[in-house]
Amino acid sequence: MSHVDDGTLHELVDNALDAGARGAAEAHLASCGDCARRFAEATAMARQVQTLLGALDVLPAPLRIVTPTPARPVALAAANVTAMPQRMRTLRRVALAASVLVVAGLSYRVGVGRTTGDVATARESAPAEARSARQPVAMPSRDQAAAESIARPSAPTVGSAPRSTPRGGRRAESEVAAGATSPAVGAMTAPMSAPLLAPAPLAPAPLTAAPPTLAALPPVSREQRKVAAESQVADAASGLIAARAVVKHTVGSLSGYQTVVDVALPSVTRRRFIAADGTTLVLAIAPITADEVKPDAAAAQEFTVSTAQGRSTVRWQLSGMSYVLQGALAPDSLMKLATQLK
Amino acid sequence: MGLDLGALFRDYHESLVRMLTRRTGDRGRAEELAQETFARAVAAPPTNPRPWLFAVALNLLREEGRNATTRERRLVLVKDEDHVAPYEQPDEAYEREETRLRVRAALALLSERDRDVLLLQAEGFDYDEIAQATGLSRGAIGTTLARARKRLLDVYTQGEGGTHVARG
Repeated sequence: MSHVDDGTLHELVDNALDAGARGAAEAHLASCGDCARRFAEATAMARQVQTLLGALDVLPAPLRIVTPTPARPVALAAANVTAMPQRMRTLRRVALAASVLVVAGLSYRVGVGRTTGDVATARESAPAEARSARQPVAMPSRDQAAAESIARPSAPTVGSAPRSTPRGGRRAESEVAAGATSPAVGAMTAPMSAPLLAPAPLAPAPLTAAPPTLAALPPVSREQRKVAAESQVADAASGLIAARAVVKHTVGSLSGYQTVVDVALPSVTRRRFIAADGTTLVLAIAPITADEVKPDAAAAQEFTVSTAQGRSTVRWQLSGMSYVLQGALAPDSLMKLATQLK
Repeated sequence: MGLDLGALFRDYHESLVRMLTRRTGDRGRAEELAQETFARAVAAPPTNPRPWLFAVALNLLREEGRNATTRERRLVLVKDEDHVAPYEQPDEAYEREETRLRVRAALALLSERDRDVLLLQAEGFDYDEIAQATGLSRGAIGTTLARARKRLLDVYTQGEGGTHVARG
């Protein structure tokens, strides 16, 4: 018999030969050192490839909304607002040791399809008491950057953005996942994120000044951490809620990035963010209709961030809906979410 | 004949998402594609589900590539806990990420056909199933795998590897 060709060798490795062909091939291998060596190589190759492909599975699971499920509308009382400084102190202690910082600020407003400039305008006219109520949260720089993001004229209109992501964006996103380390992460929204790459404008100084001190944290923390955020419900006489989120990642000393997301409801929209380190965050927002929003209720939303077994869970309630975001962020990561309803 | 979607999901969903994640590098997208694939299985119950599901998923992926518009996203309801990578020290995580990126880069240099065949085989497909899912002849699978494995390892080992991107 002539030598066994590569294809047949691999069929032999994969046990894909019928009995006759297998017998013939094995008989040849028994008498041909070269082919026996090639068979050993093919066997090793198959095993190595399997191992290498397994390396592709370490991608962190994306954050996802697990529910929404109906929940009783939360009484978002002023008590929550006054309690915020305490929570912020907790937050900062956590943040000092955090190597991953994810900040997501969600801004909601009524009406689909208005320009982003309107968002900023509407924001400026927010009731004074609501504004002052937000002060204890002590995130003015984040607020400001969020406002600037929202006001960026190049940003797509709130209503059109989620469905108009070009194919190129998705391709670029894949390339990011495939290892691009350029600052243009979050390529889906690159036009918006590009000016926002300046280091850490969004977080209070203590959050970003801290060096990564992973070792200072227990590997798995089961502690429940409450993060205060705020929201405000304004007139929701008609229409649907549109949302905009600002998401920022800072991973250790690596330069972070942030991006702005427009979400038009009622279509459920998910957006993915992939950091240079492979951290993936998917933000999903479920439909909220005006009926579900209590008009004129200046309110604070409380976010609960819990971490166990490497999985972070963020829960919050909004307008009678209970939301859960889950993801495989590092256990010492910190997620901060802020919501504003317009 | 009814379709036992639950059984189908239980048997193939994890494998399908894993394959698509390896293929796209994007777990969320993989899950969306898997969800769409199962939705199609409900619409047109397949007789030979496994090759059918994977073939549909790979077709969807190609369609998506051709489509400029983003199709409607759907909310993914998480079933149970995913398996989550255990906590790692940063340097371990860095190394793993390095490896992952290098494998992705190497995989990207394969032809689409070679890549699909490799990924299907890695999910435990036998040659007949690979042939069904890809449309290749049964006799071509061994040769394809031999070439794909060699190329993947060559490129991975060389780091920077080949300059020409084969198209399938």
